[in-house]
Amino acid sequence: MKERGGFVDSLLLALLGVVMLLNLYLIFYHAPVERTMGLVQKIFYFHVPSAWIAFLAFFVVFVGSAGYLITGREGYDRTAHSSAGIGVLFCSLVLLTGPLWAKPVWGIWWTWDPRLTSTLVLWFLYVGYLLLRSYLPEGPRRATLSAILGIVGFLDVPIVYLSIRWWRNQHPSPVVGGGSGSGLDPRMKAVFFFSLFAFTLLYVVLLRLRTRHARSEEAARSVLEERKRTL
Amino acid sequence: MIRKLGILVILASLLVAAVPVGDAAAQEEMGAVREAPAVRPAANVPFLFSAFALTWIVLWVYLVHVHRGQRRLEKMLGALGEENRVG
Repeated sequence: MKERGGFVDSLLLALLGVVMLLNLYLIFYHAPVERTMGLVQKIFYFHVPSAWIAFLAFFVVFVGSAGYLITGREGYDRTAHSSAGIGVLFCSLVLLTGPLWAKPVWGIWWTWDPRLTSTLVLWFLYVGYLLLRSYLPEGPRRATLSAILGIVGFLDVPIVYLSIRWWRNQHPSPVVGGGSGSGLDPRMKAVFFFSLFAFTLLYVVLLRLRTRHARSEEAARSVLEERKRTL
Repeated sequence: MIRKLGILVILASLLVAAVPVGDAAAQEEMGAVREAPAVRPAANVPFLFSAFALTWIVLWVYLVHVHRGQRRLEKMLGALGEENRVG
């Protein structure tokens, strides 16, 4: 079973390497340069997929947390915790690459508009989730409290997503599925969707790696506790 | 590690709070972006480079951190298993 898992991991890593290189090639050589923003618009091809992965990761936290509260199985809690770490990582990337795109285009690094502010709140919520887990002793209480925060935190995701539809703000309106007047050049759209696929694959690889790490941590803890009891 | 992250979060939040809110002039500039003349494609490349470099550095640091932790744990579990067999 372990060998099969290792084979799958190797296969996924090899596939990820190829897909990421192809993604870079498509971003820089296939996607056309945007007329008004120039080359800096290419940040779009990993800024938006990073946001998508953050949303996906926090959705997995939501499902894992709900699963733990319903069944009490530790596997759900472990998956939720692993996914929260990855979600914070990608949400951090969104908050770092966004200002680097905003400065040359808007002339400012940051503004307190609904999309940006709700994304920052989302980041704080899940950093809080990770801090809560690190400060509480391991056990059902920690898992239950984390699950509640994991579920409540996810309420911010639809607010972040819909903020550019609900309120007029600095952040651009959606270019994919944004209705009439919005849209992307077909080549840009193809590269964008490929980038979404590449980042999703990256998320799957990271989640497998992180959950395996969490399982090893639990195994090490239980071995050490058993030793303490026998000594 | 997580506690250090907590301190970083507090410092980051202070830094963010210090960023001035975009004024009306900046908001007007945004409105004008769509009608702005075409820019030189090579302009703003340092921003693009920084964003790409930052993304890959953050991802690599995370991957190396998790991978190293995993190897350390596997070594520790192996050593504990060996000790149990000998004991």
